[in-house]
Amino acid sequence: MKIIVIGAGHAGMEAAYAAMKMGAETILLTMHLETIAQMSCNPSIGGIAKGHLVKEIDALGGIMPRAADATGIHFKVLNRSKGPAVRATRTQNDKVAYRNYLKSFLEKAANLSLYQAMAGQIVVRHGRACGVRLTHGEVLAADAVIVCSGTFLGGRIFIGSASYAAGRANEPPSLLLAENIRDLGFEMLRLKTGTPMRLHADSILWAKFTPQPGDEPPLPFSMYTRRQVKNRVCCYLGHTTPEVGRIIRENLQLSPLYSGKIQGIGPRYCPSIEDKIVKFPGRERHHFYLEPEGLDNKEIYVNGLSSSLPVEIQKLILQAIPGLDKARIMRPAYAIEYDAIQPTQLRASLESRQIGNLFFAGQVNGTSGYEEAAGQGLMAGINAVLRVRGEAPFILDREQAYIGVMVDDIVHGGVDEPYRLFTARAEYRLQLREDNVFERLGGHALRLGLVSRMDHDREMRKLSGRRHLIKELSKARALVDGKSQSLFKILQRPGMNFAGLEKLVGQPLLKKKDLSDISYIEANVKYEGYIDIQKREVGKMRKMQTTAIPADLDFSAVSGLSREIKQKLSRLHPATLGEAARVPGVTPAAINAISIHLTLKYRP
Amino acid sequence: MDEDAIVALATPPGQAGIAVVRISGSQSEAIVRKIVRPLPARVQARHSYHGFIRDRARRIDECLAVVFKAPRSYSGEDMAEISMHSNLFVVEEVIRLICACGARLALPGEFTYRAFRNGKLDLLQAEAVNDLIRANSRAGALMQFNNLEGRLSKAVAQLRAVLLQEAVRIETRIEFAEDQHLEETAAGGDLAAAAAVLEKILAQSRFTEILNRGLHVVIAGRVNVGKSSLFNALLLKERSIISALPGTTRDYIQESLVLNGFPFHITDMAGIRAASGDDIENQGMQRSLAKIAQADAVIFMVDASQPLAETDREIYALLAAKKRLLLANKSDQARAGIVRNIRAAFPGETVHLVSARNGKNLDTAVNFMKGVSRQMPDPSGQTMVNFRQKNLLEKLLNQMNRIGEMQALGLEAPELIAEEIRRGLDLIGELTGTIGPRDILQGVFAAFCIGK
Repeated sequence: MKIIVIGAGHAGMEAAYAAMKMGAETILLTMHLETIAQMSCNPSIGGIAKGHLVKEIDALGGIMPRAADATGIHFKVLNRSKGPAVRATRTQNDKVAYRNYLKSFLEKAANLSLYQAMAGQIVVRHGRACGVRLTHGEVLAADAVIVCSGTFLGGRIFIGSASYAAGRANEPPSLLLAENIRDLGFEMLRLKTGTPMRLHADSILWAKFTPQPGDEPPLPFSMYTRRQVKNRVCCYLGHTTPEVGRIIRENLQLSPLYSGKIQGIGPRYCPSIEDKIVKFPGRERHHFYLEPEGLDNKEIYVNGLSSSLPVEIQKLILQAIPGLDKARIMRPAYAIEYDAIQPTQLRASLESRQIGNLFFAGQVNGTSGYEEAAGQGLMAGINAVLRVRGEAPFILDREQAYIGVMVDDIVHGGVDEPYRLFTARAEYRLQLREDNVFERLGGHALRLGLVSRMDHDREMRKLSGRRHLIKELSKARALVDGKSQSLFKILQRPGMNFAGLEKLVGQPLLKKKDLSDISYIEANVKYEGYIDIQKREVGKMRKMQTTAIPADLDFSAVSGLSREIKQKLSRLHPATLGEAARVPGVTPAAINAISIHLTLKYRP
Repeated sequence: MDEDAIVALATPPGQAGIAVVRISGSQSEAIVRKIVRPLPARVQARHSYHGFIRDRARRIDECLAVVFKAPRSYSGEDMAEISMHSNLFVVEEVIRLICACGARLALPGEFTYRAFRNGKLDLLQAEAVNDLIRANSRAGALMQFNNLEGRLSKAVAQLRAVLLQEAVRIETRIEFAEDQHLEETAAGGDLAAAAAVLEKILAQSRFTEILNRGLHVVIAGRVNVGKSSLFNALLLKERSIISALPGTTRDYIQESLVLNGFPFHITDMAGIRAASGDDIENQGMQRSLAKIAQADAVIFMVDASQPLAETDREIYALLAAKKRLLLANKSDQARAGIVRNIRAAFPGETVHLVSARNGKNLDTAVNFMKGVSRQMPDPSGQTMVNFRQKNLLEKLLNQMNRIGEMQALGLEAPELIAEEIRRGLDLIGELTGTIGPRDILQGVFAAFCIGK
């Protein structure tokens, strides 16, 4: 079995690694071997919802979490003081170390070939992808092709009035492949994203900024990481000044975003500094973070100041910020426009609906973020192998994993701006936690051959220990406010946590424990009632989800639907009511109308 | 493909001046054209046309026909209404004729169901239509009309907006934990104010219950003081047997009438006698006493022609906490000494002399009942809720209070507060039918009377 992965970014690497592990002879194509696993934007992995994704990738044997730990220079658990469901890990990484680590990791892998070449055309025969024609003329045959082209399809960079074709700063775009995918009949989207300037560390007056140290002790992402990870750098918090607002407002016409040069749709949750100034005119200052890009590296990433203004204006902005007034730009901020496919053209396996054995993953599907890309890459890699084997696809449900939420959202809902995962997108957020990824996904990982039996069993022993302790908590009792209560009930009290419980009992309840163990126990105790309700909801939801919409249903005949909804549904033709409900713009009332229509018209 | 045409009689069946038959569906006009003649080549929507209903050559009835064009109709579809004489046989024949032209009989509530589906009404409004048809009082109808205008929908929409605002605030705090400016800008929804609105609606629902069940007035008194005469005089019809023998009304009899727009249920109670070996009567008396306990008001009657008995005083003692009216009956046979004694026996009470048989001074009783109804709040501006809505609103109020308590604790568990808010939003969805599962909708629509 041969599988070709186009693009060696965060999606492509996971796809190739998973396919290889499942026995496929895998070729990973990259334009430039030096920049595989490049962190094109921030030097960071994880964050809220994204950290959840990384942990899921870990439970499924992926490589992003290991690389993040191995090259992490700053570790932090966000929302630590909030409940276990929303706690999330984030690392700052040494960019150069990150890509070197992954390059050498993949170079060592048997059955996986890194190949520097540019894909020009997907070879399709009888409605199936069967190879890739490279721009240098060579044709590689394959049983399945996975496209992970990131921002390279038709990529175009904008800085002020200047614009040029590029897939990333100083790297050529992929124009032939973009044209080829369009010719294959795919509906394309034009999206936009941006990245801030990188400054020279020695030109920054650090005393002006507030240090943001990592956690002590720092915690890794991966179950494979045995060595103690270390914080090696500090991040810093700073604020813009009213002067920055004035400069931007005066020069807004120079921004291609506002002059109309950029047509692509950017992410609302990750606005450029000019967007923030325009949309929140009442705010005098905006915060930003200074993040080191590595250890042997003087580049500093200015998180929060992404922009497409001309470099002269970028310099003026910096001069108006105390501490950055002497800062030297090493790389200017820029905006980039690129082609993505509308992901509703994909099945939940990430295979194209129209062309068999052709898969898409990552930013090309209209998502943003390294983690989102990696999660899709992993799923596409697994499903490409299953497809070639003729087996049922591996699809995660919304209540099983954030990966499931994301894939379901994009393939059934489509995207109209770069898609980012949020915990709020999950209906069953309390169940989708970092601390229980093994419980949720470990069995699948073992069955699919993504983790070894040994690793699985070790995690299983850990899980059994946690479960055992929870049982013990129901048996043991202690006195609180003069009343004897089970430790379980005591832990359920508002304001009580595991540390408080151990203090109350006067001895450690778990000898060796980390935050993940504590979160797991706290979640299972404190969320008990909520999770029961959610499980019941899942049951109800399943029923709705699985109510089939007959393939011959004429949506235009369903009364009570607006013309817009009728058109959308006719185009997408969701297979179930659940899928229909997730099409953007489709209201619950519309779902009711369809449901009523089905009952009236298709009554047995 | 279009909806089937449906037909139903919209007015109550039976002998009456006019019957209205309604048709809904895109075939409505075509069907009317087949059976009503003459009609112009082009009929104007919402204009009425005079003609005759015909079965081929045979004239069945004279009628007025009105055609409605989608979406400007009750159901949001093309519709037609035929007004004709209300004779059961004729109406039946016409409906059969309409069915022969391709329509089918409407299911209960199907017109409203279609109106809901076509976005003409939301679920709360659709229910209001049903309750409006069923409303047994003017006040109830007025309040239902308020619902139909979307008053309840509006209140619920506001609650939803508040919850959403709060959800947005909390979700933002969860997702963007590192954005420090959030604390400055985060104005949450005013949950307390929203809960107060909800409480007000629920407080009105007690009033609603009274409207739905009516006001209960019991006529109480010793045997043979003339309760049945009063009862009948009030109802203006012979219903219970009036007899000179004590204890003829063995159990109680209940009748309803409407005063001041309120439904009143008047109970003529079995006479209460101190000692009787009659078991049946005793059972009746037990029930009578229970009726007094449940009554909203009591008309207590004594005999102005007979000396007061111990039983009179005993009955009076039962009425201490009740709204009551004291009548001394048989004013035509009254004796001054007895009336004086009666007044002395019930100090602080106004004793009205009446004659139930002659209809003398009976306005006192009517005015008393009107007075009881006037103590109810003014129905205009009130919102009526039905049982299903009340149940959900109560759950919603609990939910709002719960969220308020969790926030007051100030614990860092935003994900649980968010969970409670989601549940609140689900309840609202269930209330307005925007997310509700199918079985709720079916239950709601099955409660409709046919034709609406």
